[in-house]
Amino acid sequence: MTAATTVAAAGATRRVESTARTRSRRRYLAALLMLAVACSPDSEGPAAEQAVTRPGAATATSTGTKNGAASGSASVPASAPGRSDAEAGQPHVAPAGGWFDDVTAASGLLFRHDAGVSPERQLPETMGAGAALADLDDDGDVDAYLVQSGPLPAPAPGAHPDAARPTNRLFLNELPGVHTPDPAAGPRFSDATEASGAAAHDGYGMGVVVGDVDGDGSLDLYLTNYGPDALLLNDGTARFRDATRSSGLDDARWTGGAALFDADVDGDLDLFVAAYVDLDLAHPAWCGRREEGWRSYCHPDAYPGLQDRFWRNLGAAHFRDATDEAGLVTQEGQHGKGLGVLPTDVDGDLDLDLYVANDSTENRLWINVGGRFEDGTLLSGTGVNGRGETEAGMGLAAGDVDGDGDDEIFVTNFDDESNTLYRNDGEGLFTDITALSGLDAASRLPVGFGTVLSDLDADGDLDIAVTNGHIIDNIALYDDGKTHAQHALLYANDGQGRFADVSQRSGDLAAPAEVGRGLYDADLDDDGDLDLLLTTCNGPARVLANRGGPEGSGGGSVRLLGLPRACRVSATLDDGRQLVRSAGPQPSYFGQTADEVFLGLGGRPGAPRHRIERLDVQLLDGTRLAFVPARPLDGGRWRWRSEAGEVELQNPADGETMPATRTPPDPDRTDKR
Amino acid sequence: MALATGALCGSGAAGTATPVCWMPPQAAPASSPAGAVSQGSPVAQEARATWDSGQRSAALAQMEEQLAQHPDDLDTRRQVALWQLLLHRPTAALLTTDAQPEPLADLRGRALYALGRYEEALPWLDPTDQGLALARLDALEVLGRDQELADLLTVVESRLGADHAHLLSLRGRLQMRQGHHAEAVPLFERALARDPLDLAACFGLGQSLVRTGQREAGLAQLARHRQLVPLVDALDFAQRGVDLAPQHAPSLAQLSDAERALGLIERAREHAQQAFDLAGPDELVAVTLRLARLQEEDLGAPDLALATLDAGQARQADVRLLVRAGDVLLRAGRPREALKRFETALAQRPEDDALRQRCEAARAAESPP
Repeated sequence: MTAATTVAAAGATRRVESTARTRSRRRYLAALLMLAVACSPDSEGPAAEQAVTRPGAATATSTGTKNGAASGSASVPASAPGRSDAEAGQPHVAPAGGWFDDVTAASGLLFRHDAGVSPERQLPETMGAGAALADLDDDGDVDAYLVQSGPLPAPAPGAHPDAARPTNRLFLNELPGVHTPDPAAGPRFSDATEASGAAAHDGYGMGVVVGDVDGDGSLDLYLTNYGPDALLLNDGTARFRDATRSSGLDDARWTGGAALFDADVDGDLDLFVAAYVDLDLAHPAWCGRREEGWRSYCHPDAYPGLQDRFWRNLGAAHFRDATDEAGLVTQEGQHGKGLGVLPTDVDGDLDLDLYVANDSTENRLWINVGGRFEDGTLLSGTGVNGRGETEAGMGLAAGDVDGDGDDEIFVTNFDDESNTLYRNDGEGLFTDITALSGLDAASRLPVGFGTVLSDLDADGDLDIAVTNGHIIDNIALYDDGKTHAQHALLYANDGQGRFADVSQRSGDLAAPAEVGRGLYDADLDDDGDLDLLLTTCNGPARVLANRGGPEGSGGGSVRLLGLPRACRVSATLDDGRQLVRSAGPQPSYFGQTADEVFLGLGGRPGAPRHRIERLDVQLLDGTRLAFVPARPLDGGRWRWRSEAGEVELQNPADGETMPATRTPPDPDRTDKR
Repeated sequence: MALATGALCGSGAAGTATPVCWMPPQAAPASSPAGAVSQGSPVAQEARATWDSGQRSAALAQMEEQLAQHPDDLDTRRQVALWQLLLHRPTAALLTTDAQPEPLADLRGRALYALGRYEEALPWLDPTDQGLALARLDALEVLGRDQELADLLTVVESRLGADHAHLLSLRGRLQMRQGHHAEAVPLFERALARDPLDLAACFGLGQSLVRTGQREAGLAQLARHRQLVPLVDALDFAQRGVDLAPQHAPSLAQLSDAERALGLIERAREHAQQAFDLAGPDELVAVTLRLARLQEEDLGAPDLALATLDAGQARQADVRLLVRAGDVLLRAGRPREALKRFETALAQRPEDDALRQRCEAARAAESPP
């Protein structure tokens, strides 16, 4: 019995209960499409001019207060509930100047995204573009690769380059004394694009993922575009050549999020690419009121979704389209509109499953079963939010929010939808705990894009930052209370998986309203805390230095670099707690965070700094490695080194090493982590 | 006169004559201070007439102008704020209530709620008001304040009855969050019995069944939910379009389509008929075809469909209406009449092979072997 006949058989005479929480993200579409058909004098007139502040904050003209009730955003509780250690009740204190400082100008990372905004209002113009943080020249620090878009249409691959067209940019981190950090110096980048070869790519860029696809030890790039994607191989010195044609990769559709991950545990990186919608630039639809200044962008609902693709790495950067054999085909008419891709082991069976955030259709969770994937969406509950509603998913992050050893999934969504945090309940089941975690209300008004789920205050738990920005540049005409430029959000974890909105203390992170898209973290200045790179649509990228590190009011940290992707790290602290982290970059939106494991140790004023007494690493093949330092670790960077089957962690600063004790994999590979 | 609140009302408890609406019905004009514009004034009456004719934005503009001239008139301010909310302009409504927040507390609360400013909305959402109590419950859920939610839920259930779909769904989700999945199952089942289109209950039931070991039943329920989501989405979207422009024929037709897809045939017929009655020349053909299809296929009334097509043809001659009429006649076993329509259409489009084929089919049906 179909859904429709079921309803009819029940004799329902449903009256639509349209509470405000019904997806009003449809609101502007209702207005736009209706007005496109007939510009009726009955149609809604221009919205009143309003100054819109961050969610929960008092407006300039309307306080929303009553009887002295608080009007601002939710304040950090003086005593955060649930903390069980010595830090219970400690408020999250940011440095006087705010948690993050905008050091863009001083850093030398000067980049402005060009969306190619046109009178035709083509949908790709709204997407912005991503970036990746990775050590592309293998000198021990974190470099940045930023994706550019430019005017549409982009030139065909191999066409004579247009000197006037902006390209993707490569910025190499030139930290003075990379192993002897000078926190006051901050990150220092030099624009190395001219010498980067094919990395100066001039497609209409969407995103980038980084990984060693040819096994030569250097990090390569896969670029997603509106138009032909590209595979760029690194020669080890941050010079790239275009190897798309020889690789067998061939995708000229509109792609966005992607992931390089070892799907079949054969030691090389396979590729999954999310495809967005089928759109014809040559015949742009008119959406919005037919008056000067009112033309707007059409909603993605107006376009059909596209089949995502899975490419199996055959070795040496040769790929084959294995979408069908991997079970990742969706039926025609049921394709998602993929934006985010997150490889993560949701069921603890030592392989990487895939979570795909789709725009306006249900998200998908693909469960890896021996290299072939099964649709686990329905069972998992992660296709929709806890009220059974689809959301427009954009950015993704995963991490152990509640400290129980498995990874939760966090998705950023459109306006009138909250961002969503799915708690991993094990056995492939998840629960939407957004509201319980304190993440619901403040995220409903903004449109969330890039996000990081990282220990931004180095206190041992995972915090959340989100960059926001609408896609409709004239949204204020159509939707009362909405703006194009929006403020970022910063949430601090209380240690028990409940978050407080500390955006007002985030300094330069949330201060400006901007059309935010990508947000990526890495210790860019090598001072032991996580800094941020933020990209905007048709605007400047920003570098934000974290002042909550050891020299500020934040805690200490141990960073692990070069670990095999997707291995599971468990750090045992001196108080008996365990910090569990997955190695590998996080996608955020259309890009990648740095591939490093960050272990915050606490140590803010008044709180003890913990030490790591033991590190346990479990690889995807089941091998377990134990590292016991000569003395408990209270800081520093440690690099994974593997030679002739022997593994050790080495501190580059002083050469100290920690050899691993190896436990071979259990013959029964279905054992849980 | 009462304002139509259909789209903004929730399903009431069994036996309740008046649906519980989170938006208040338009009240009768209240007495106003001397010198102020009262709701019974010619201006207010004219604005209401404009509103009722479907020109909602124009009506609002009239009242906003009056408010600007008479800022102390509470009745006018209330009307303006209410209409702003109904036209999905919560920021404007919030500003309107700024000058007199206490007497307009209910509208202020609704505006803040609509803006997603739940923490600020709570003080203004009077739990003793049935409509506002629902919003208050929702806000508490969003804020993760489950204990307060549970306490208020008990109170509201005692007022509205424990068989209220929205309350049942809320209670079910609360049970799930507390890990009481077995207790959640019957709550969601009851909610769905009241409202089969309650997506939250549909999803919640599926999840609860899975969590209580009834995996296959749970997956079947979740599959049903998956089917429903785009259909309910489309209904929601279409309803919004009609909210903004209730006299707009294409929007009404779209709403009809969405209702039809969900099997709500009587409502679909009603809205398709309204669309037909209101359609302008550019809209008439598409709207007529929709209504005729519904009448023929869903109501099993080909004569009604034919009458609609003929009426549409009389208003706006179009070959497509002729062709459809012929198809209806052919299916109804009246090939001779069908042939007449097809031949008339063919005369207008002599090169149309599909029409020729239709003529042949009609002739063949007229002359059985």
